[in-house]
Amino acid sequence: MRVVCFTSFTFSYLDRARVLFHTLRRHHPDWDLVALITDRPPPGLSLDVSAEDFDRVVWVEDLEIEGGLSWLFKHDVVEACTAVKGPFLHQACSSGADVAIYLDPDTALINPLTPLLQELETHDILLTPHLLEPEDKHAAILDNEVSALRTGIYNLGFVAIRTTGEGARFAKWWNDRLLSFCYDDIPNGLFVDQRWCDHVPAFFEKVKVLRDPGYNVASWNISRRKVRIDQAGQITVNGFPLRFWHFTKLGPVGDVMTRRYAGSNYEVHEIWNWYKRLIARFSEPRVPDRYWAYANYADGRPIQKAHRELYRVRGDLRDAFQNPFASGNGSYQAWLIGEGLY
Amino acid sequence: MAQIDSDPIDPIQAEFDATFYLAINQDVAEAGVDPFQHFMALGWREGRDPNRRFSLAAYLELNPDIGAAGINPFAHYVVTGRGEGRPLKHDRGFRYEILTTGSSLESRIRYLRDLFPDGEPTRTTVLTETLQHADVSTRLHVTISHDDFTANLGGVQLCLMREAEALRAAGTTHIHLYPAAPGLVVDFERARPLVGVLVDGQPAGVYPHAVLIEQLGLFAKARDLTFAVHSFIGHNISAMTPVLQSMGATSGYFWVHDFSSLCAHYALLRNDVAFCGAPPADSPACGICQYGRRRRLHLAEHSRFFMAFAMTVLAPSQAAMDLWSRSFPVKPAAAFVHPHARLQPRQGQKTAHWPSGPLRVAFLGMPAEHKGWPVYAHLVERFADDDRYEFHHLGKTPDPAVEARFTAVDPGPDIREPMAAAVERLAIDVAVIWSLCPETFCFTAYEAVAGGAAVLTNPDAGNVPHFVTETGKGLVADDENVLMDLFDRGTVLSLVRSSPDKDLYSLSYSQMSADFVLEKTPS
Repeated sequence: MRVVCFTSFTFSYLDRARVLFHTLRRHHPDWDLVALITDRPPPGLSLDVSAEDFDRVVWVEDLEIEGGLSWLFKHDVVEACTAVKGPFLHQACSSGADVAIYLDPDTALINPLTPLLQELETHDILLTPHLLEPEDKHAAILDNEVSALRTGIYNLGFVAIRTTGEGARFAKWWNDRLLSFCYDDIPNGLFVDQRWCDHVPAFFEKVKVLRDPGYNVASWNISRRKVRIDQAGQITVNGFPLRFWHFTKLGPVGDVMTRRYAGSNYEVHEIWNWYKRLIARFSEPRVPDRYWAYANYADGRPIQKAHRELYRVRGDLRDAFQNPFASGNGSYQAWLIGEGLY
Repeated sequence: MAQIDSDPIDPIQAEFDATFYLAINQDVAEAGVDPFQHFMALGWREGRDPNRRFSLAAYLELNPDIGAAGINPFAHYVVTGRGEGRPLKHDRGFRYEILTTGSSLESRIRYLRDLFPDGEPTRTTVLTETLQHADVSTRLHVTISHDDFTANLGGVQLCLMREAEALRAAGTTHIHLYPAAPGLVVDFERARPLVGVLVDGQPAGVYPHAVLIEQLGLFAKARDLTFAVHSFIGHNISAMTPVLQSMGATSGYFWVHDFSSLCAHYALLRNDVAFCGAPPADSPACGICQYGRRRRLHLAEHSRFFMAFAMTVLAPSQAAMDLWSRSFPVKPAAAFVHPHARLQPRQGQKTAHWPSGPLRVAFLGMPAEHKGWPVYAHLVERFADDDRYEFHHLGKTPDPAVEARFTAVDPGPDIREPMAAAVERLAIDVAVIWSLCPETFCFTAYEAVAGGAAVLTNPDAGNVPHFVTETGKGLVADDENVLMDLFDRGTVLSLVRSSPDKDLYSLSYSQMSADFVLEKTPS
């Protein structure tokens, strides 16, 4: 079975992606590992794929998304990186691969994902819900259950499909929606690529909601998952082998949530410490803090979220300024300044 | 109508522990100021805790509104917070603290390397002359360990002293080799590693391996050579192998004093918090352990050594031998269990009466995390006010944060078993030996029983649970919850004092490798 496994990121997340690919390469040396990058390398850095644990890079331009830079401008960094997952997955269905798997760059494998391939013998689409059982404390209901109602029942830090049948039909539908509606707009029922997938069990057949607690363990579900490390060397979650962890919000914010919900389950902190050591090992000092090549206009001034939102809703502006990243006379930026919007 | 306390200082002062405050704040003690006044005026703002049980930091983290209000958290707790049912502490356990505050293995290694940079070797002529003046014995015994056993004190050092004494008595020349710079792990990173040399217990300088190959190779000629490795920590094994080969060595003894031949954590404490069981090096557990990467190196280096020499493995307990045998990849030439000491019925006074009053519970030795001190501290904290128990700590250094009666026990040459003597003198009923990792022998457990105490331990403590089961002198509790339950229910009371008298013992010691070496080459 030919498996293509990809993650989507910008250079700011290169360290995280490297950790993910390091763990993927160790457990699945035969998989085709793809770095889907919606960015340009920062000055002084050129990506040497032969020195990386992934096989190849797909740049956002390679996806040949209609509208190109105009389309990209409509999205902030999170929206852009999540939106490109749809086109890649859709294109993977005609690439010769049998199975396509997406993992967020801030995930890492602890055990092989081989059982997923067995699931894909009988199912075409695999999803992992944020939560597998109800919370029982008020604060946890707000933090975890209500949060999932806002952002989506399934965590799209993971999705796996067969590249045929319902898997391919899902990939086409997701591609279409994400090209047009991949925005962080919770009041209007959108949360990037994720909220869309609440529809998946209704729209498609052969969907498997993975109820194995060893997949996609994260701060939002550890209140109901107990991590154990036994003397045979296995790491389990509620008795099942830990497959992959989702290290959301590396840093103080993540630490607070992990502390809040890990309780006395000290093994959770062992796993986080391991991840932090790997991040330090794979860090890339040549990437400036919060770098994104598409964060600024050509003159280096930052693009504000409001500029993107205006461009998103105004077809006339999109027609007038086909490269909205440009600076100087006749540019979208100049127009904004003239209108007193900058 | 509820009464309002006109002077809320009183209840706060009543719960303030001046003795504790002065013990952990030397500067306040030296300044000679009133500790309570200091705490109320300054101390709480500086994060100085008012008693053993109240952590300002923990209270503030759990009750962020108190920090925002800028008021004295202890005063708030005593006057208001307790009544409101405010949480006092996290229930994350000491392992969380270790994992979030401990320094990493690699930073500790770097720190040691910076503290002890590669030094200058001694002039080779010093070694040449020392060897020329060494005994004319035809027998030569070489030992290798992590340090100069004559300069430091500890279990392995005492073992080496006994080995050296026995060899000297039998007229054998003894050369001891140790890393000139101390290490935490097997070394492969030092550019110019030096080896310290003791000849018949006397310092003979520090030298590069090449000098040892030349000098010791020559010295070993025409002598019957034996060697014993007690520890390779701090050594470069690949560089030490040709030193032994130059002396004509083909076989030797290897002691399992610890598990550094299996892992870079010599006590197999995964991430410093839990006994790992030495699982396969490619297991998920080793994958997330900070010792995992260097573990592969320790295994590979020791394996190569075992393939270069026919090694006889000596373990001080069956528990250590079993764990080592099932985890080490190379089969040794031979293996024997050879305990460091055995319990012997006392000459003269063989029994003592149980004391009356509360059960005397003690922690023996260094208050270190891997020895289970945090578990004992938790036990003391929970039952300190319980009239059924009296808590002690016997050792060199007290921990003022724990409410246990401290008795200084200094290992010295005057008393053979200083800990046993102190256990007996204080009429300790129960010693809590709660090592988090497997003890290969544990003199402390033997001394506790020799002094008349029962031992409470856990299944991961290596030889200790075996010793307890074999002798019937104590109990193995499954985990920390069971331990707490034994004290809560009072089950521990019936564990001891059930017979009218308690037995007392002496220890008889082995001569370590000398028992094998001297048997092999009779004079």
